[in-house]
This record gives sequence, C-alpha cells and structure tokens, in this order.
Amino acid sequence: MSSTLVLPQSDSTRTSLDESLQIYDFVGSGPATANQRLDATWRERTHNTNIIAKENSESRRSLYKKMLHDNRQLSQSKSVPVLLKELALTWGMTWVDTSYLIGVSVPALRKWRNEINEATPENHERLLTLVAFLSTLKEVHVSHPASWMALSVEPGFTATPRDLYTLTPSAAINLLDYAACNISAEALLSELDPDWRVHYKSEFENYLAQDGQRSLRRREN
Amino acid sequence: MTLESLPAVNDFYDYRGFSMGLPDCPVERPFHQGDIFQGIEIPGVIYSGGNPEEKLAMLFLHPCTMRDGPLLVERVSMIAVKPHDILRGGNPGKGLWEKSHFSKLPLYDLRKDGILFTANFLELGTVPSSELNKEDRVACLSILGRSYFSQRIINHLTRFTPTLAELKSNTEIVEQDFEGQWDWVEAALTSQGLSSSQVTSVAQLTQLQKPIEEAEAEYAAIMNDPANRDRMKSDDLETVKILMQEIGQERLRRYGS
Repeated sequence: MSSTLVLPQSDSTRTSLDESLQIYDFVGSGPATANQRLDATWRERTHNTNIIAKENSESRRSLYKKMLHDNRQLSQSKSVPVLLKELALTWGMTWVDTSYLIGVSVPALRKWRNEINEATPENHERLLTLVAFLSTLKEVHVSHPASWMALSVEPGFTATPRDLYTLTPSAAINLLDYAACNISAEALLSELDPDWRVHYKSEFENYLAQDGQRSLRRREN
Repeated sequence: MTLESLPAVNDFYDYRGFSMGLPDCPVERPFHQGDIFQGIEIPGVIYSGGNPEEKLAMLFLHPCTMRDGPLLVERVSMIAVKPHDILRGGNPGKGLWEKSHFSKLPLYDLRKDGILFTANFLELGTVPSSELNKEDRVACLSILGRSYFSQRIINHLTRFTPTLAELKSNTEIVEQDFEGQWDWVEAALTSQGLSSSQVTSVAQLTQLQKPIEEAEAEYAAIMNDPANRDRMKSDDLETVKILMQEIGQERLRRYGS
C-alpha cells in the first residue's frame, strides 16, 4: 500500500520536519525511507516558505497602505487647482490620464483648474489619493510614475497600471507591490482581473514607421 | 476582434452644441481629429438644405498630418455629417452599430437636440482649412470617441479592427502635444485677461483669434526646435513626458499658469 503524505491544513501553523515524518509513519506501512525523508524535508520547507511569503506580503501591503496614508496627509490641505497643477507639472500627468483615473471628463478637470466649477468633496479625495499614489510610487523607486502608469505591464496585452488602478479601490496597493518588484505582472493581473488574458489581449503593437510616425502593426506570434 | 460597443453619449464627446450662439467647445482648444464643424461644403456632397447648420463635416486628418507649424495645412480631409435617415438607412439601434453600418460613425445627440447624425466614410473630400472656424465647431470628441472613430474607419478601410486600448496607446504622444498646445494658448490668453469662458458674443469670440494664433505660433516655435522635436519623436514615453513637463514649467514662468 502506498502511503500518502498528509500535511496540516492550517496556513497559520508552520510544520516541523519531525511532525511531517510522524505523519509519514502514521499513514504509511512502516518507517520512512531516505527518499521519503528528503521529500518531507522539501515539502516542509516549501510549506513554511509559503507561510512566510504570505506573512511578508501582508506586512508589505500594510506598509504600502501606511505610505499612501502618510503621503495623503502631506497633501491634505491642498486645494483642487493646486493638486491639478502638481499632477501636471510635478508628475507629468496628462489631463486625459487624470480624468480617466479620477473618473471625470477632461472638460470638468479644466473647469476645476480654472476655478470655473468646484470639484465635489469625493473628487477632491480622489485627487488627493492619486497624488499620494504617485508620491509613493516614487518612494518605491519608480523613476517617472506618470510614464510607468501608461505602459503595458505584460507584453502582448494592453493592460497598463492606469487601467488597473481604476478596477478596485485597493488596486493602488497591488500596484505598489508590483512596482517594488515583489510580485510579477502575471500575479498582479490575476489578482485584479482573473480574466485579464481575455480582456487585454492585444493583436497589434505600436512601432515607429519609416516616415517617423507612430503606427500599428499585427504582432508576430 | 469585432467593433466595440458604442460609448455612452457623455463619454463620447468632450464638447457639443451651442449655447446662446456660442460653441460649447472653447476656442482655445486646438483643432483635433473628429472635430465637427458647421457651414462646410465638401465638393461633390449633396446636402439636404442650404443653411450652414445643414452642412456639417468632421475633421478626418490625424493631428500628426493636419498641422504645418502652428497652422493647419492648406487643405484638410473632411467627412460629411448628416442626420441619419432611419427610413433609408435603417435604425440599427445603439446596440447594433458594432454589427452593421460599417461605413458610418453614429453621432447620437450631436447638437444636444436628440437628433442622431452619422459621419459617412463614403462621403469624404478635401476642403481649404481656411473654411474651418472654431466659432462654428459643433462638437469635439473625447479621447474615447476619437478611438472609437478610428476603430470604425480602420475597420471600414481594411477590415482590421485594433482594440480601443491599442488605438489609445498609439496616440499617447500626440495627445501630449495636443494638451501642451491647449494649455499654452489658454495660459497666454489668461495672462492678457482673455478667456472664451468670459465671452458673450460671437464677435468677441472672433477677437480672440489673433492672440490665439500668436500663442500657437509661440508654442510651435518651441516644438520646432530640433532638440525638442527629436525628444518628441522619441520612442520613449518618459522622454516625451519630461519634455512636456519642461514646457509646462516654461509656460508657468512666462504666463504664471
């Protein structure tokens, strides 16, 4: 009868090698062989590494949440026109991108900027969050956050951080984790949009044509 | 890939219609692909009436090719825009444009009067750019509207259908330049106490044309500097964005906004 390795189900408990071997002995037909002992060692290490990785991830994301909060506090007293000016001149955000990330039209932004209309408190909050997000990106060593936001994260797919930022209220945290190289693009996309391979698939790519103009061509598979 | 669903009206346009005879779209905004004007007669196109309001046309040229320095090129390609004839053209309904009428771009509620217009890609011609007046600009598409327009016309001409996201990513740098020019003109006028938002008559609006042209020429002089032009042509978005930030700082230094 072949034995089956049974590992503890709880994610919160780390397994010791001895515990694993006891389980082997318990479910098996006799003392563990040398190979089974090695296998148990690797399983134990993998299991514990996964637990540590999960703990690290949670701690990291708590830190990013705090960094966002701290940066937000720094801008708290800034008015909407001041925030818009900062987004454009300090960060290099286009009106089109800012409008997309905030969820308002470009004409609305221009009216806020020229103080023709006033932004709602909710939109003021969104601007504060966006400025804090860009500041935090800089802190995790993204050299030019506005450009980074507009570039595809995975070759062959159109998804950009700009698109992902708008998906959930907490997407900024996932993006910071990705920006700091803690998770892969694939992991980021899967966390935020499980159907990303369908939603963002791109058959065309940009290139600079011979006349110097930006153009589209079919991707070579 | 198939044609994507028509965006909601408010997402499709940035500006549309007139109020008290004045266009919703500010005259400080540069010309852009998809702008729709009244009073344009495209040679060879038959119009239902002789009034300027019945002679609508959409600017087809891409911003890369429509400008020669600060000005529009001498002649521009335009697409005829007419009320959609439900009896002859059928009523495809909002949900069916992606499956039919491939030679047309639907323009719902173009003038805020509930009427559905279409831009007909089969009625395309060349007109002198001097006929385009910003006072007669009926509507301006949003970036989403422009991407949707590009998708339909590319599909019409080639049967290839890039996604809206692919089309948008292809115009990142053009949009930077467009916004840069608009900001520059707006700041230059504001520094002189001028703004289309304070204008109450078409005559006053027309008076803004000269300072706008002067500001556009100033912006073009900066962009035509060989070093700046090289940076603008860079394949690297960061290079372009940093250039535009520098131009923004220069604008702030000269005009204070």
